Amino acid sequence: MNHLTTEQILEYVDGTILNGERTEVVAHLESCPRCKREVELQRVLAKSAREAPLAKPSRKLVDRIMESILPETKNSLARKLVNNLGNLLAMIVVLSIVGYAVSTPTVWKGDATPSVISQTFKTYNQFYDQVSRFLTAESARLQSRGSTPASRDDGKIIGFTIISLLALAALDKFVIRRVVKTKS
Amino acid sequence: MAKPDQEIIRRVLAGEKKAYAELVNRHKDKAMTLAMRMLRNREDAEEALQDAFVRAFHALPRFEWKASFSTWFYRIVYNVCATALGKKEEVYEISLQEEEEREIELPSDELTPDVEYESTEFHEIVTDEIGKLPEAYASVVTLFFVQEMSYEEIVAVTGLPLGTVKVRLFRARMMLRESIASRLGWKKPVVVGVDQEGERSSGV
Repeated sequence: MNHLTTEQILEYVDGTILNGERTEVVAHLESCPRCKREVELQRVLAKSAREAPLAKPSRKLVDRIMESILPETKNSLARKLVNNLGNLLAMIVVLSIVGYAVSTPTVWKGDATPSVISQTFKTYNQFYDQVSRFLTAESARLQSRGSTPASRDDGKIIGFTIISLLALAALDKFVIRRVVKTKS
Repeated sequence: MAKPDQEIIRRVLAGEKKAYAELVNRHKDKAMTLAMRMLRNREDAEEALQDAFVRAFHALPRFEWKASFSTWFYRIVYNVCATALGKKEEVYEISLQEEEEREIELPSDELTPDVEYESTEFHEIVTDEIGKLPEAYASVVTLFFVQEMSYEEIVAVTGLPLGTVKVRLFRARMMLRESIASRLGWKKPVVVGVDQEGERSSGV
């Protein structure tokens, strides 16, 4: 019995076999388990070759290509500064608040002449005072007798710093980065 | 209806250069697969790919609209990789030898046992063996199966004669079959040119 040639089998699997020859091949396959198995094997080989995992380039490839063809998209110093604007602003504001709190602790008590900054932080200070009173009361209740609680001003500075950092992190994440992304 | 690739090209040529990133994203994985199979080295493949995409961008004004972007672009990728290999001439030289070895006999019954072809292991072996094919065969196999190109499109991409493309693909598939049979421990390797009784195949 003459079997199908490998070419016929591959053409049959690829669907490129001529119509006239196709009838002959189909008829042969009905009576030849050997050729039928070979067709099945070649079919699965082709399927595996088509579905083999693709190689993926690094994530930065697209950026590198776009930087090559559009030099204006290159990360200049100015662009890096803009990209990190949120972090820079956060650092500046936090340091300002801490510095201000350390140097003029009485401003929140209303003992000093109100400045522009103190007016700005008035609402913030009121909120802080409520939280601070609650924490101080809780702290006093939990403190063992004889221990020295932290001074009110020390607690205030730490509290301001933590709350400021959280507020600025949120500002950076939800506002500044979105604005920068939209502009770029 | 315009093809998605061509729509992006129109936008790029109209001045919306950033749209080119969409074209890169659409083709980077398949192009990387071709480059990896030709160059066998991730770093070289990425470099070639970057080069190819940049060249394609600058050549876009000369894009032939009647052709598909794939064929046009993979020709660039193929040429960049072939240049990187530095052995384009060698690739052409082996084609005559291939023609002479075209007759490959169907293996005997013993070579096609009942195997769980759909198993993950089988697919992994096939993927692995494709990666081991010599570059001249791997590129044609990748263009045929991954890029799903016709013989004519592969000719357009590689610049090889149609007969060579056909032979190379045929040989690649036989080599794959041989290596898989060998790895799975099937009884005999495929005999090139001679069948089990020592005679050439006469066909149906």
